[in-house]
Amino acid sequence: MIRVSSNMMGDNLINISKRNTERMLGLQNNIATGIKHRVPRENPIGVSHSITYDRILFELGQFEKNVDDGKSRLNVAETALANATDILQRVRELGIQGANGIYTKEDRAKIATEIDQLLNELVHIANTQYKGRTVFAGNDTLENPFKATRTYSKYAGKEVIQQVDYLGDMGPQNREISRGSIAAINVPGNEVFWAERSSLFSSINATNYVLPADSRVRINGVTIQFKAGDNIEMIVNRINNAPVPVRASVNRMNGGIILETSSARAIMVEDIEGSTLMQDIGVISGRNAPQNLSPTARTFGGNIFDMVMRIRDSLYMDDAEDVGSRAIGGVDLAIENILKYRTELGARANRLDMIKARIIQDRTNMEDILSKNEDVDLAEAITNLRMLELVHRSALGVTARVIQPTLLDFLR
Amino acid sequence: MMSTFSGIELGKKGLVTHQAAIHVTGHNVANAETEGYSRQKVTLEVFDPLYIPGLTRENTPGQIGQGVAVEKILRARDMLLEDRILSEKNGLFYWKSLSDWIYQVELIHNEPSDKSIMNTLDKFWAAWQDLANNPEEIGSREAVREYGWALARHINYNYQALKSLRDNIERAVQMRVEEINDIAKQIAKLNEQILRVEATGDNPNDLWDKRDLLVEKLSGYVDIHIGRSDQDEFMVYIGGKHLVQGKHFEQLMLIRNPYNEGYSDIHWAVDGSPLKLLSGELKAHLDARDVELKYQIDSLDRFAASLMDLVNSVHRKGFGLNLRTGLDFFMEKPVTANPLGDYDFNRDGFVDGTAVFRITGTHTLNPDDVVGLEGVIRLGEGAEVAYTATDTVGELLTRVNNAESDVKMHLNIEGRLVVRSDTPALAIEHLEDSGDFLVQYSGILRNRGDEGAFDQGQIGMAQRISENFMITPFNHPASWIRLDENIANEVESIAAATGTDTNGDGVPDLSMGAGNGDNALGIAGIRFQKIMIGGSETLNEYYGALIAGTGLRGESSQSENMNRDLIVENLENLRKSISGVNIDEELVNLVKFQHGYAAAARFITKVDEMLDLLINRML
Repeated sequence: MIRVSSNMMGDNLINISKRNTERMLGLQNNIATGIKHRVPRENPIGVSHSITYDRILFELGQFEKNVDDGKSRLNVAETALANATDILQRVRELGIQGANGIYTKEDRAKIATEIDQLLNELVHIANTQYKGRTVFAGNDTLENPFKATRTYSKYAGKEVIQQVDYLGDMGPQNREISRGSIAAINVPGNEVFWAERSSLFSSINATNYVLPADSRVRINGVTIQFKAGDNIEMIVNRINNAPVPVRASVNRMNGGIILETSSARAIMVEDIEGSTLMQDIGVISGRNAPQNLSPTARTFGGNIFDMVMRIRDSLYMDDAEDVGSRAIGGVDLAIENILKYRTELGARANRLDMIKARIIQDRTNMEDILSKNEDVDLAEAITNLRMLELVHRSALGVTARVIQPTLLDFLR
Repeated sequence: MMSTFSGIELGKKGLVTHQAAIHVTGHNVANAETEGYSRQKVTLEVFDPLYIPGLTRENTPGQIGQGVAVEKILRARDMLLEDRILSEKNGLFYWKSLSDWIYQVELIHNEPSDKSIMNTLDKFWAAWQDLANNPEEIGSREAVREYGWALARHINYNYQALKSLRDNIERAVQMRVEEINDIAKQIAKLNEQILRVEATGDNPNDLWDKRDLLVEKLSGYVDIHIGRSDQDEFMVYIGGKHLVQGKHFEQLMLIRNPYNEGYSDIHWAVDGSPLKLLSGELKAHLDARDVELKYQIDSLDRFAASLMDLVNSVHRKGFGLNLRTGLDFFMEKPVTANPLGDYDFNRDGFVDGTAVFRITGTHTLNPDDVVGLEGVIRLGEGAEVAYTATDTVGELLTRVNNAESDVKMHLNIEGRLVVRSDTPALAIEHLEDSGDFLVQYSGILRNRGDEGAFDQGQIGMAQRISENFMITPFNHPASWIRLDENIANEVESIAAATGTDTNGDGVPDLSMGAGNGDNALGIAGIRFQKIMIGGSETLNEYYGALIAGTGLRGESSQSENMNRDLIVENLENLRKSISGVNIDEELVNLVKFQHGYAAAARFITKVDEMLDLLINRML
């Protein structure tokens, strides 16, 4: 039999009441915020998971942003290429028309003028901008990639574009589209707006050339390593083994190096990290690419503007035969090359679409997991709260009845 | 023959005794709610009867009782239970205190929420991604600057909050020590008073209650041991030394510890020896201040230092819109202005060592490459890692990171070996290799063995290591981390683009172009690099683990607190059962003693009537 002192019952209620109200407060907080755990101690592992899932969700949001940005830029490029193709088709039509023997010199001159207008438009398209930055310039986006030089042509009788140079570089515009996965979302102008394969014939005899020190050279954006002591054969070998669409060979006639692209694009060569190799063998002359090809080397290979100019000039010169054969062929090459890149851009856009779909799926899943981890089951919480309230009220009621009567009430 | 007035004497004894009993009952009732009061019981005994055998004995049948007297007044208290309560309360107060301090740390972390450092860090990485999407834009640069500021400020704020908390605990320690000294004084005084009362044979019940209350309060603060064996000297021990011995008492004093940032250690004033504590509220304060909070601040510092180092390393290689390169993003504040890291560690005015936080090797390695060399790497006392020709780079690094030292190694994103110190001081202590792994293979050290070893305790050590190293940052990087002035003043300096090295000096000098965002991507990619704890965790994971660990410690201390709370509650209930006043019981006693008093009074009246008859009515 336990002896119960008078303050035991009252103190007991105070302690029990403290515990009950603490739990009720906790539940009230949970219901009001909708989150199961407010501080790490309530569920350390759960909080740790919450932190991880929050990070992943945030990342997915950012990746989606990156993908959307990439997609927009690809769309702009695609539209520009579509427009360029339309123009080239029109030029082709006009060319074929002009090649027809029934036209007079004046008629051909008029057609040539129209083609000249289209040429201006074409340059404008090549300098397309997105959000104020040029699209086809590689990383040199603050300037127009293509510069048109107008000089007087006696055939046209006025100033017309006689040269279009590429001033941009080959730098990629990269976007991170998922963890560690980078996608380039641009094409440089010196690849897409080229028509013919480029070739460069150096006039320096490199038969006895020996590379004095380890060197690195960048060709069309790819870095190639050369070792001290390499002769011209080894240099040619290394270039051919490198993953770059440029083939090297030795010119048997003058011992110089020949560089040829394997498809329609320009050649861009840079000596880096103190190398002088390409300057020594007469490929470049030291200034920064792309305006650095050596003046002593012979270069061939035109861009799409060159092709259009050829038709125009042939028409101006009233040379129907040239128009009908070589010139039209050149425009065909241009159209074909652009088509190649449109396909590739289309493929890249598809890839981005797939990635975006996956990101959206991942986000939904992650939000679901996060919710299961930290969201309060309202029904359960409210039920618990009601039960606690009931227990609390009962405790209060019982204690009220029990602590009141003392012997005093009954003594006279 | 009894004396004439012996009847009245007997009645008088009855009255007085019952009056005393009623008095004690009244005392109990009055003190029913007094803290620490134990109910007092009156023990009644029969008064010495007549006649004691002797020559002067009256020749009548005996013995005749002479009434009642109060034998003693006892207090109902179980001392064994008391001792149990003292030891349990000690543990309870330890866990309650510790749990409360850890709770405050959890509040500072502020997880889970969208306003924690993790969120600010998220936005920082995202800003770099947005910059990579629009590298030519001033707007995206301003966003990077803003979020960089926000991150630095948030880290500063957390540091300040943790430091303030630590200062608060220091104040709590000071207050408690003062209180303990005061209680010791009071107990000693009470001991003196109690001794005097006990010497007369009385029971100083109320003084005992007072002393027990003080002792119980003390037991919450420190783990005390009570020595009751010697009646004349009541002893209170803490950690084997006596705090109170009878009427003598000792005092505690606080001595500031310069090696613990000026926080106080507790010593005995009498001989300066340190106070040994195992449990109790004071121990909880010390553990929270010097273990938990120190760990939190050190972890935050490590986080800040690593963040600064990583971002700056990538940023320096990039180019801004204004073509500037080689700039830091976060301001670096090395612990010494000497570019070779020579530093005065013991603050005696003379440089005595080299303070280096991080060394990066010159050669690129692959974790799957077989090392092909053998040797022994020494990282300090007792931390030696041997390697053989068949080990891979990855295996060797794992062994190094598992060794008992604070030097951690991992491969950075370029594949170069990075050696970093994980000590709170952020300085590498010792690095030595008898073979070539750290020397020729990775390019960390320049020479093998003892002559080539890097040792913190010598000056000029910078000559023995790779050129790419970072001097230990100034004390508590979390407190001063901020943007570099170049960045703060000119957002065009934020290096979004990478560049090429055209002149062969190993340093990029030509920007790739305004439209290149690869360096920004590189910085954003730091988020995923496992660079903490020797390459096993990313920055995010490191901080997340810190928060989770705090939560686990919080959960366990809270559960210990609740368990002991229940135990103490039960023990206290038991005590109340024994020592508590039951009003009904006292009221019954009151009635009992009142009847007794009334009967004794009635007896006196009767005796008085008899005497009256004898004196006044007899002829």
